[in-house]
Amino acid sequence: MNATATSSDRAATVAFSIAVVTGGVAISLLRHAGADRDAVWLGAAASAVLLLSLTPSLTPSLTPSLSRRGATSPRTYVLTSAVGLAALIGVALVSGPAPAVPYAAAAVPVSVLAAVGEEALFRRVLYGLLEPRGAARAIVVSAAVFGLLHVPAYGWEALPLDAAMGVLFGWQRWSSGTWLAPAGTHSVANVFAVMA
Amino acid sequence: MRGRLTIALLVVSIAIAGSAWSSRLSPLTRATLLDGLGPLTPYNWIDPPPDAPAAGQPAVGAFRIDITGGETVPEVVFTADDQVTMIMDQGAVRSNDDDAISLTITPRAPKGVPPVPDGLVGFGNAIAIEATLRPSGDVVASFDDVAVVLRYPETATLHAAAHELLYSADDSTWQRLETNDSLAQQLVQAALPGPGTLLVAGVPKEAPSIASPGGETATTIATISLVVAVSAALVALGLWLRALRRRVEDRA
Repeated sequence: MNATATSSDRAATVAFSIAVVTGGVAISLLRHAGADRDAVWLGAAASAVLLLSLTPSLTPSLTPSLSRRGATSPRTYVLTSAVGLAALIGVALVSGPAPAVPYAAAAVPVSVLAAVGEEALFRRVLYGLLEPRGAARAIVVSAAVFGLLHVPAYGWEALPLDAAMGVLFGWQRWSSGTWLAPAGTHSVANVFAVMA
Repeated sequence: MRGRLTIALLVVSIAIAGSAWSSRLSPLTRATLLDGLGPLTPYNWIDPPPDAPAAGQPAVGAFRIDITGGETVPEVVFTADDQVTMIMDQGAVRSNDDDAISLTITPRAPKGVPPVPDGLVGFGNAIAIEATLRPSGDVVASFDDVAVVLRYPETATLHAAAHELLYSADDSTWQRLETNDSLAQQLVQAALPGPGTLLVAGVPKEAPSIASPGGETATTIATISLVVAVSAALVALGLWLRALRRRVEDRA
């Protein structure tokens, strides 16, 4: 690979990161918009931006410079995802009875979009930036940041859960060589929370 | 292979342990999305303020909870609109002479309840909880190990950085309960000492919602964020296509 292609890859990753973060900020601000028609259009635009910015990332060749481990075999991907689902089942079994939360129907697609966006940010971009200094550090730091960023929304009580799930997602990223495995598990966890 | 399996088991154990820890700290963490972006249905008010989105009347709940071996069985009950949940551990109510309790959850207009402490305002409906032993008809005076979860509304003029649960056993004075607040889910949770009236309260502040009259700043930030996001996404796409073209040229 020539140097120009590599520098373009890096610049694309930076631009992609900015798109994910600013798109996420826009969605967060629009969350309380309710039935405001303009806000619905803005929300749809924010979602489209996130999806658009994710599209090139689906190609593994986009950021080879940020990943020492390339994507592994489909079997590894499936096994890693299966471990993630097993962890979710274990979490459901030990967590006890949950309160009812009146999510709107739109919560399903929004929560999937949010899960994919968060994994793009934490397990693709942040993990990818940290991985050259060691996978263990990348897993722990990305999990810690993931947990801490959710404290304002859910309180300190949710920190053990979010940090531990961050470790799981980070391990999936390391084991499978792609952020799509944690994105899938994260999406399933969110849909499970909405539908339960 | 064995090493990878060991690591996988360790990671699953960490996830389960973290979940168990959070669940012990607060039942609200048992139903969390792993992010805060799940939109909720409109709040059902008895007496809605003018700026509240249209919704129905709040649901009333009536439940029967069996008593076996002199104590109630573990049970989770919630109203049909999911605005009130009660998580009752085994032995929440004890009686050797009865076989069940009748539990009712009735939303009330906040106008009919005692004034909230200075500096606070009520959020949403007051909730009356009554419990009666069956068949004796005796009124239950207290609960053991009962967690109550109330949803609260958020409107353009009703918004707070933190919320707490107020409890009144006699409908004359409020007791402030130690409360867990989940802003993302708009839920509060506390241990419920017994039947009585509940009200969510908080210190109101200006809403950041873009639906609020003063929310132009948030709208502006959201719009700027969108413009930046669209631009960055297009730049990323262009750079990616450029890198792809160079690779194709290299191979050629």
